[in-house]
Amino acid sequence: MSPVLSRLARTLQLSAIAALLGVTAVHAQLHDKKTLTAVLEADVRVLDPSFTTVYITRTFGFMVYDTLFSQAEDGSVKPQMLESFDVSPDKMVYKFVLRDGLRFHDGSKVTSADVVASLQRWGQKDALGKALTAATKSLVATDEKTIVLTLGKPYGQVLQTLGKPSAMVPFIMPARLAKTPLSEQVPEIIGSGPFVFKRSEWKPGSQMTFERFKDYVPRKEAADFLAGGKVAKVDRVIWKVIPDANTAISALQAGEVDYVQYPSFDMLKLLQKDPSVQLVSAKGAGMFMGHFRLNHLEKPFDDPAIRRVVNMAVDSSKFMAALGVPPEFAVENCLAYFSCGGTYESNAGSELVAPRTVAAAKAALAKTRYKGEKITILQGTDIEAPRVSGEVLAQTLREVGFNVDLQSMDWGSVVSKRAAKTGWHLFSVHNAGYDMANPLTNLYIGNNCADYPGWSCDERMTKKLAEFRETADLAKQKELAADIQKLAYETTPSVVWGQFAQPAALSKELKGMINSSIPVFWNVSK
Amino acid sequence: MPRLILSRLMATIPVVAIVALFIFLMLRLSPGDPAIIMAGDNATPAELAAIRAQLGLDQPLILSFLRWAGQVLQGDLGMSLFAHIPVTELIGQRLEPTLMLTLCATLFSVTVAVPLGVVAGIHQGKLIDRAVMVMVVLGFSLPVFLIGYGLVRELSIQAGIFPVQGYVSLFEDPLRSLHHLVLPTVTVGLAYASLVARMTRSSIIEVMKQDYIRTARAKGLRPRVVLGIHALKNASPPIITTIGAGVAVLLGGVVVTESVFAIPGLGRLTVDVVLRRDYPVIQGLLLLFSGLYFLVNLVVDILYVMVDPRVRT
Repeated sequence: MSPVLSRLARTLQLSAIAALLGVTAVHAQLHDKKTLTAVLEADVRVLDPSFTTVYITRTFGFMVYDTLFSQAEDGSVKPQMLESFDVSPDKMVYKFVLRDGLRFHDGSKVTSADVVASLQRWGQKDALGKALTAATKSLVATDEKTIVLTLGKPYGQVLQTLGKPSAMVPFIMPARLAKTPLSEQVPEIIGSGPFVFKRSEWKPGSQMTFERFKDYVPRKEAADFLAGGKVAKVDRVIWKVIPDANTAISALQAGEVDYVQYPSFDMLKLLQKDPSVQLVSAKGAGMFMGHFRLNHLEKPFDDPAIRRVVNMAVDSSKFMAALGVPPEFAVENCLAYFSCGGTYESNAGSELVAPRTVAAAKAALAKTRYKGEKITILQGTDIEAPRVSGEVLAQTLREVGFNVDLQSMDWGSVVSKRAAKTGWHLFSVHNAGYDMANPLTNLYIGNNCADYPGWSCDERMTKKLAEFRETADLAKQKELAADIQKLAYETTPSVVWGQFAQPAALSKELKGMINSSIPVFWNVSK
Repeated sequence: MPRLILSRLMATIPVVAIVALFIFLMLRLSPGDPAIIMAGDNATPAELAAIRAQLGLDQPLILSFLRWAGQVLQGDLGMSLFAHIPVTELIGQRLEPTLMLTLCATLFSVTVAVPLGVVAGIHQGKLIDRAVMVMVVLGFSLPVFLIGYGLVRELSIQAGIFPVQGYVSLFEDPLRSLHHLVLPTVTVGLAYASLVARMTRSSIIEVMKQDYIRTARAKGLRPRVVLGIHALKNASPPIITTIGAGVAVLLGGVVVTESVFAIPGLGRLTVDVVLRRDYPVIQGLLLLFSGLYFLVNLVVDILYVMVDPRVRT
């Protein structure tokens, strides 16, 4: 054998030895029953949950922080950090008493002063928080465990607001951190939730580690979505960043990770056949809602009749097919702005855009003053749902007779471009149903007449939203939500292009995983 | 030699300055706003303005550039807007995986490709040459992600020999580190090896036709000596150039390989920070890449001088 070949053979031998030795280490890692490894939707870029509405930061918040109230699977709101609460008969005074034994991760006691400071910070940032703050006369800590909220004007959704499941969630943090200026992120991540964030082990863009909080005192009740006892049954949770969906699924199949939040739709059939993997998906308001947000300031979309044509052209089944969503994970022909399966579901007003076909839209467009103006669609190409739905919409609108300019860019550029009042007509996005299911938190309806990209504004809707905000009666709320939806169909702040779930894939070894589109890792064991 | 190094270093200064200015302007004039990405969908204009002010993004362009240039001259690349850690630390975390992958891929490629190229070159037109050329064409043609997924499927999921993804630091556990690097090395190394093998073959064919080779043979030297002493040394300049260019490309970020194997290296970091407009990190990375390109070119030039005395004149 020549020297070169002999050296090559030696190198290969050494590699093989290294590989075999490494296999042992990998197997040891795979059989670690006390560590759960998950691949979530994205890397956590912002750690402060009262700084951003980005979903991954909200999910991070649920690991580390706790809330006064939490939402159960049936949509009801249950006390979480509270021992008890009282509401005055006129629903203007709320008294909250904290549970005993609550501690932050730095060892300090959770006090009512921490709660007040946290709610005050959150109340200046969150949409519902701002509404509650505007209605609040005073929020005071009367003793170490008691907080009294006194309203200055009626606000019908106090408990729902304090127990809201999606961003921004009113998480409780130490008062010293809650006093951080709003333009800055909190300098330390100290919560009182079931897991402690190990900042020293954080590798941005690669992985973050959480450890079970030994001093956490869970509620006695069984875990029920975000409510009930948050019992951490694993010692460590590792969130790994694996941007490639195929690799994440391969890692799951090889047993290197236990949970993948969003396998791509085209892999679902394969995963359904894999005996080592289970798929779980949320229903109702836990699903995603796809929307096209329209710019009401840009001609010709200043004309409501032309905007309605867009709504008429959108057949959700076409979008679901293009995205590859299997029928069992989509809601067929959902016409509810506030999510199908949500508390405020209705079809009110949808007759205005029926039938939703290209032919009908074409006929309707012919009756408008549209004269072939360019319609600019901002298409975010780095996220699957906006990319695919943007393409389908462009083609659909061309068939209807619009002159379409599809501008492809990364999502960061879409967000930047849409901030300008001109230069674009619509963009596609998908939001958590939890956010869209309430008229006040629905981004495109709740921001009516606000300085928010799209700038939809209807005075009648403003009045109805105010009425909705003030009433605590569910029947009345449903009636008002239907009225608001009728106005939405008339004025088209956005167009719903589909409601769908993106199921999570997890190892069959995991027991007790809570079925939710917000991945939480208490109650789960290996 | 010292004069060569010094003159190259001096030539680098204006190049780096121009690169720095170009990078800065290109980033700040292109669309995108880290404040919006950071704050999420529901931030008000007032909140965004406050975040921009806090991040220093509301300053005039020229002031921002001068401040950044001043920091760079003191060796400070600034802080990541998102991770809130120094850019140098963030890049430092990602440098090791990319350096290790580059080193392993280069070693693998050179170890495999140079002997294959030599064998093919000295047996030009024969079966072994054709077999090598088929492998080279395949190595070039197969997309990196296909090779990666194929290896993962067969050797990780089916056979369970290698891990699917991830990186373990060499300083943490050397054996596990090498174990994790085997599949990425082969994946990225195949295309690179094909390039080197092809270049080696061409150079050997060219050199073997030279008069001095015929003379050496006529002198009765053994074929191994002719090949090792006379042919390979003279065939090496273009091979070194190819290897050097390959190293520079690998260091610049093997994005696909790093993504397929979830290796937290510089390639993935670059994509991430560009998408989120983390300006200080993008600027730091591009400066680093231009420095690395310069370094690799310098090493190639020095090797040239070592193997080819004609270059010294």
